[in-house]
Amino acid sequence: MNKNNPKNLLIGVELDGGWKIVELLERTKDDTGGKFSIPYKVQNTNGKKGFLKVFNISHALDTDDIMKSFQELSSDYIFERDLLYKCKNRRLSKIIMPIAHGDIKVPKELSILEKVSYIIFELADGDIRQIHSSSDEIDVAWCLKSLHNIATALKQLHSIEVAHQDLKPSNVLCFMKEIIFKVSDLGRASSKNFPYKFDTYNIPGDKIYAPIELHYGYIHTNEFYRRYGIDLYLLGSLVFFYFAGVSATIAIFSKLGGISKEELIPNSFIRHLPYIREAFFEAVEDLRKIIVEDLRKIIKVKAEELTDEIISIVLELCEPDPNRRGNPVKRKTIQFDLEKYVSKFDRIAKRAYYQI
Amino acid sequence: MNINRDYKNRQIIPRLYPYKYAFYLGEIKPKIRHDLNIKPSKEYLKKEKKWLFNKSLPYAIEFVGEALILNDYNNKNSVEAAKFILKKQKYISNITKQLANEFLKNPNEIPSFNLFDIDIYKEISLLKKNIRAYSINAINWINIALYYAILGQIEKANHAIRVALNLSPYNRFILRSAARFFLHKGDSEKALSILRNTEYTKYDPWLLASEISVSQVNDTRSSNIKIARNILDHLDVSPKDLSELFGSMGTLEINSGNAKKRNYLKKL
Repeated sequence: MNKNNPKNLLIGVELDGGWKIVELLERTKDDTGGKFSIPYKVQNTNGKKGFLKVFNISHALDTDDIMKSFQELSSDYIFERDLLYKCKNRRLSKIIMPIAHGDIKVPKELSILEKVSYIIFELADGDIRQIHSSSDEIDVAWCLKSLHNIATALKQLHSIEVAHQDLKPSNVLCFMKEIIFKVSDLGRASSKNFPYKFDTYNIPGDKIYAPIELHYGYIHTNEFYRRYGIDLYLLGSLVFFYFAGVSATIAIFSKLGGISKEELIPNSFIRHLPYIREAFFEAVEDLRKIIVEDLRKIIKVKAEELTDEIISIVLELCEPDPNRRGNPVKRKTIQFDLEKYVSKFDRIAKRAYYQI
Repeated sequence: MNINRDYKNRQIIPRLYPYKYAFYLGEIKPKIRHDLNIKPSKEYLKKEKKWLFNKSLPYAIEFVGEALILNDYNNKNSVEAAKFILKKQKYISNITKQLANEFLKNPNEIPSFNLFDIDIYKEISLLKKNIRAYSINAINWINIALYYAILGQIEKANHAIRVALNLSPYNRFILRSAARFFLHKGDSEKALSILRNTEYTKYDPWLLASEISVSQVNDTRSSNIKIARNILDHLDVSPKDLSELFGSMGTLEINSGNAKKRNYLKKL
């Protein structure tokens, strides 16, 4: 332990509810956390471990407009905290839950403020990007099980009228012992009942995962349910990530050879749609070859049949036209209902697991 | 077989060819400029930093992916990341390989094609399979229409063209291909109505050129000549996108005996 690091001064500090800070979690190479929070491992009197996020907003002093930064940071924190507690109150089992929150007294070396806020979350073993990139072979059953859990998580969020909008591999956490996957980071989510600044962003999440229509600034409807369509695309994009190592968006952009900035305007989207669809279909056909090869390693007889099922899901979830995305049998609001995909992923995951 | 060619009434009419031809010839979208002044976002800089810090495959892919979206081809770090991806051939999928190749490719490079090398029956069989899997892809319908037309199965081609038009009534490639097909079928009025029924003809130099030429074939006067002249006078579109419009307007001026305008177009 580096004693010169002021962050270590919090180790051993006791929090409300019997929690004790036991370890500073150094930012790993894969870490995507911001500089405004410090991660720790905590443990309570029952031996239960948790992930502590201490919000050190004194970094806002380094910015040009201090007051604005303070305001933005605190409102971002409150927005995410309230949303997380909404999920907790509704018992959404596939969302990373906050266990406790409060304020902690911190030494002067760490922050100019006497007290800062914290949230304790469930402690996962890592995100799927870390786990996926560290293994050479693709465990198809593992991937499909995670897709089932993620689809369930999104369905749970949609049931309380919240759209995640920033679903990506680093935001899906894995509990290795139980083989359970949960979705984290609601920082860019959209809630129908709590409008927030991210609702006005053209691309609320990560650009390389965002649906293609958002790059054009094309919005097919101003109704809130369009945001569920973004989640569907992001879910389908994870299939690309698992088997091809890139998002659906990158695959489409690569097939198109990039799109010039001048062309990325809302009016161009409908005119470009046939090219985008062709690029998407080519990418899906490449994906099909990869999946069938991976499936043949575990299921020799029905690998093609299972691949067809996965591909048909991808075609519906990642459809470039937001008007046609989702369940083709249902249109308008319920076209983005995830029930069908939850049960499909469940069935496919079980077949891959039991190799039938 | 006796082919009657009308050498006296020559027009620059759109071609009906496979989508891949049009794509590589630059008909479907303007060439991306590599000298753009990129304003990197915080997230992009973060990805660049992560790549420089980690130098591993997942970070290289994310960084090159965003660089491709932003057209940041001149960034030496993203070029290095793309080369790094290609060095890891053993661990990457074809889709990832294509990302790196696409990022590093020379924008002026055009692969060679020969329509006579294509096995038409094999292509039709593949396209039928693709249409069954993803029927809303209008490009597949145009491609299959072309092969049916080559085989002389005009009714099947006609059906495919109509489906493509219903799926994508605003797309340049679809409209031009459909117009060319109806000209081939001898229905120049239908070809003209397809081009005239879309408002985009007024803004798209490729559609404008087609509309002017098809109007001449149909012995009618185009109402878009003034718009075309205006576009050619202001030249705020890339020369490549204007080339066909220059040709169509030049032909029009020659046919109408306007020597002054003809010279003017020749100068350009």
